[in-house]
Amino acid sequence: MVSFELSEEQALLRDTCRDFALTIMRKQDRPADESGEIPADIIKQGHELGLTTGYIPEAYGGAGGQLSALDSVIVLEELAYGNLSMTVNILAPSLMNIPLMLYGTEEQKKKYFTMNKPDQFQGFTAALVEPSVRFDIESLKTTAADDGDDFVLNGEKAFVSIADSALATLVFAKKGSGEGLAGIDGFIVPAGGFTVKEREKNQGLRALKQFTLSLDGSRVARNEVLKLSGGFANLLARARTASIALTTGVCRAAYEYALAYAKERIAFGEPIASRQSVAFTLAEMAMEIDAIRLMAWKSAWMLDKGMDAYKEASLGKRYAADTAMFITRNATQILGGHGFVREHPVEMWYRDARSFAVSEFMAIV
Amino acid sequence: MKILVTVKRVSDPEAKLKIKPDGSWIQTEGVKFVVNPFDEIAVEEALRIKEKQTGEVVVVSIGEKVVTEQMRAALAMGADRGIFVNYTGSYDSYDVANILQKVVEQEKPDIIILGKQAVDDDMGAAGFMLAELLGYPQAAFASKVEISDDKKKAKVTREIDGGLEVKEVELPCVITADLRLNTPRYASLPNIMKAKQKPVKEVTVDALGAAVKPRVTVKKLTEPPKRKGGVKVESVQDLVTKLKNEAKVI
Repeated sequence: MVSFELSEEQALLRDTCRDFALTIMRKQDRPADESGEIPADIIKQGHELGLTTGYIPEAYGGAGGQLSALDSVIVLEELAYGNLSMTVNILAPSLMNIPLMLYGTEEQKKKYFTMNKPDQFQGFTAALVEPSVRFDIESLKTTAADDGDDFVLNGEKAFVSIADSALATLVFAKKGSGEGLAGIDGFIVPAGGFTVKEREKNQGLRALKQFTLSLDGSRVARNEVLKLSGGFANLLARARTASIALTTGVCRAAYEYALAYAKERIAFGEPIASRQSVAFTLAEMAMEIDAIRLMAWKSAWMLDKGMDAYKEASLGKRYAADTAMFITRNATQILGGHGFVREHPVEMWYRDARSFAVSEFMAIV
Repeated sequence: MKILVTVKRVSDPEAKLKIKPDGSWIQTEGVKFVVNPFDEIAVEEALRIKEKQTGEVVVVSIGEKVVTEQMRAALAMGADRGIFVNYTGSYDSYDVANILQKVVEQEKPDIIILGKQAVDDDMGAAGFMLAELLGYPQAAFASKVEISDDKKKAKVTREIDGGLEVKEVELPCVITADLRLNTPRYASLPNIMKAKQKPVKEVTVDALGAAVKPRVTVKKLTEPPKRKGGVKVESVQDLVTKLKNEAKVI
């Protein structure tokens, strides 16, 4: 049965994350953007909320919370409503934890889930995107060659969050055989197994540490391979669903700010919100936010039903990325000159929103 | 150590409330409801005591079925179980104290912690009345609570005008929580998901044997008068004259 009614738990999840977004993340968002550093305390508090490990089964030392894709989508929208850099940073370990939960061997789960300790909760990340002018996810340039007991990895990865501090990174690479997405598997590479190059200098997400990695003959033992058996498309659908939810959050932040501003800003004797050009723009922004939220929810609902959501998630991600530009550009426009200065957060959301069109595997549900 | 905490469902203090046209109550449609912030502090304090001493935290709520939403929030913070007193009629602070007295007699907690007041009607009376009915010592407006090593006494710091007062009360006792007692924790995601599995016992007022006879009834709600716009004065002398004669503040 299709339902849009949130359960008591989902409402509580939403309210808790919204409160965290507004009272913890938003308080530090501008200094973090200016300095390029997220306060360690915020990441720790995010961990204490159970965002990164709460869903790991108790058998592996986790808290055993059942988090559906729809629950995650609700959580992601609220967190991104707070701050995108912080959200991506806090949730980086899920990029490896969730694929492991879905496809990992018993041995891998035991080994890696138990590494998510209170003092090492920022243990994992994942590497997918490559620094190529013709980057095509269906034909990754990073290769894993079968060499007896090990696989040998060669290639470069870009936009890898927290690669400098992660204990292990899930690297997606193409094995010798297999075509397109079906030929991609995950390889768990410990810290030191690749060269972390300089930090990315991004337009947005400036508080988030992202790096380019160089894999130059990194050896990965056979039991450290995450065999996806064609499941990479499912992981991508999960990451793209997450991306739609994150986009919804950033868009809502920009929209709400612009709406409040338009009601207060007086020009020609009345609030600018009472001018049709501004009111219509705000209405269109609101419509688009509702639309992308529905896309995220539908895609998540399909995932929870065990359905193939690759198409829905992909269409939604693309649409949401465009919407994000439409909404954050208009938000800065409604603020006029104030939209251009850094005192107001809308220009930051505008820069952060640009990441959605060029990113992949930023978060996962 | 067993700690009983009250959780009241109140309208979000941030929400802009409207009064029903007939003035009987506020319009509740579309209004967000939350745990009374002082009760949230009470739950947090109970959890902290439990974490130090071991034991059990039981939350109790009174009202219609919807109040269990707020009770779940307290369970998600870490409380162990709930008691939902199903009652749909009207009641006042004394009725609440009466109902709680019966719950206390059944549960026999070592400490009862309430928020110092609910932020909807700001009565702040139930805690005192409950202690009186039970004949328990009480420490209201607590800003710090320390349990003695033998678990027989509580040292409670209270904020009073111009300073702090430290009281020692014997257990069992009633404590009401003030704003600076603690900062409530966020419910963690796994605990939110698990809160549903925690037991909530539903009881009726009749089954408890409590008498509900409201002595206070709400006759009418009205909005505060709209503030009038200020006036500009021509000179300092004007200002002083107005402050003296019209505002009568100097």
